[in-house]
Amino acid sequence: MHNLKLFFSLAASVLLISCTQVQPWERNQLALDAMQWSKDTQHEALSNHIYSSKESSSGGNSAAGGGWGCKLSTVFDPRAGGFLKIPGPII
Amino acid sequence: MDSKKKPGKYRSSALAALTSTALTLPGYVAETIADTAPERGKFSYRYSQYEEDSLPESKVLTGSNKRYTIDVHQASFITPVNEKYAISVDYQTESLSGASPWSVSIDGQGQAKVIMSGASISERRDDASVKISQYREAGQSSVGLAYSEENDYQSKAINISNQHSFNQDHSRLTTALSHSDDKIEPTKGIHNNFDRGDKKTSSIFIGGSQIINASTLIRTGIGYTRSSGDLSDAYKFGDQRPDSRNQRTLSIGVKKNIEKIGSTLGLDYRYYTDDWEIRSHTFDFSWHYRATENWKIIPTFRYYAQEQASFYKNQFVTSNSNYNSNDFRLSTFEAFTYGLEMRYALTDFTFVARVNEYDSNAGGLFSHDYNDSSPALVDFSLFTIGFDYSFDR
Repeated sequence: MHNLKLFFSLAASVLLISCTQVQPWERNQLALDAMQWSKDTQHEALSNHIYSSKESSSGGNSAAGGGWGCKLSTVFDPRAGGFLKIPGPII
Repeated sequence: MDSKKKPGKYRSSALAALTSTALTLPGYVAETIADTAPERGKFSYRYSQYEEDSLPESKVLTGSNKRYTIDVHQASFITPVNEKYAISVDYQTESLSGASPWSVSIDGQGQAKVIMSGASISERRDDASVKISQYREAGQSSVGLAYSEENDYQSKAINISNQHSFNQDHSRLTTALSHSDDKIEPTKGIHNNFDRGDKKTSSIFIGGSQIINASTLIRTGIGYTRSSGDLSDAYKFGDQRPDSRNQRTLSIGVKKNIEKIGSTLGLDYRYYTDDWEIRSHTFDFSWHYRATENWKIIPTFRYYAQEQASFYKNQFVTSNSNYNSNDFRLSTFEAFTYGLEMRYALTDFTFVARVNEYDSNAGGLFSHDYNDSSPALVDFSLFTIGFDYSFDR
């Protein structure tokens, strides 16, 4: 609960200080591929798959529960946090 | 370059920049330009080779010290249906061979050593998913279905997400829900704990992204996932875990473009906790360097540290404890991932090559609070090549 309060406080603070208005014609840099939250959905799907099968954490970015609102992609790991089945494929 | 080939599609640089912004950045479109489906379709293919390092002989009690090698093929197809709808289809197939840890035991000198699964395993997994997206004035929605199958495992899942932009398109709120229904029928043999298992997982994610200025973006989000059913590992000796798990995540990320040096820097952090008393910190850093008009070089670094589950032990204690596991993935450890990606872009094609190296160690940020360091921690490398092909519909 303490962490949740801290998180929301930080999030609200960041939003409060982010007052700069950026007009559409000033958004060239924001439109760069590198500025997209999701750039290579296949790589992200595979990486998330591997990490969630070799570590005990998952979610938060794009696994179970959906993503940050990336582009047209299926960054979706139906087995994130799965059975932790060992002899089967890692992913 | 493109305008020479397609004079009918020539646009002034200012208008092109504005349109490009609107079309390639769904989260940050201009007020007068609604979210629309992508103008062009795209086909992507990736081949990856995943290879785990062999365990040192000194850490193995019995069995082979060779671990998994996996070949992965991924294909993705995305096409607009009209201005408001698009459909994407993904397919992935993997073939695996190698051995894995079955248990950990303490030898005569008091050292924890790994008992491997014995004979090499060969398996295959196929995974397919489809997603339909709808675009509208101030956001987009999508629904996706996924199916995964291997000889002893089956998973069906549905995913729904919605994005809404506001504050003159400076802010975007994302909400996503998912549910999966998995079944496992372990291969018969001495290594399985149960004959058949089921598991259900439901998740919710709420996130927000915000334009800070003309070169900076941030995002934050919270996630909750509940799993219930057979959560024990069917292929590990004596593995007994709770039949439910509640997982929570808090995340924050920032991206900053520095035009002077042709670079974009990204940093993400995730805090994770669950009711198995596992906690973790994950830091992701990336540096996108635009070396030339065609070449991009992208070094990446990831740090992960987790605290062990409350019931993790190298050596089982058959007392009043209901739950036991010596799965290395539930132990206290840290891991470093180093990556390097190269991209070469032409008009319609982009070629990609990437290598990642993952090294794990016992202890880490949570080293003050762990009882046993697992001898079965894994190191691996991942090598990927592939391409994207964009086409007019």
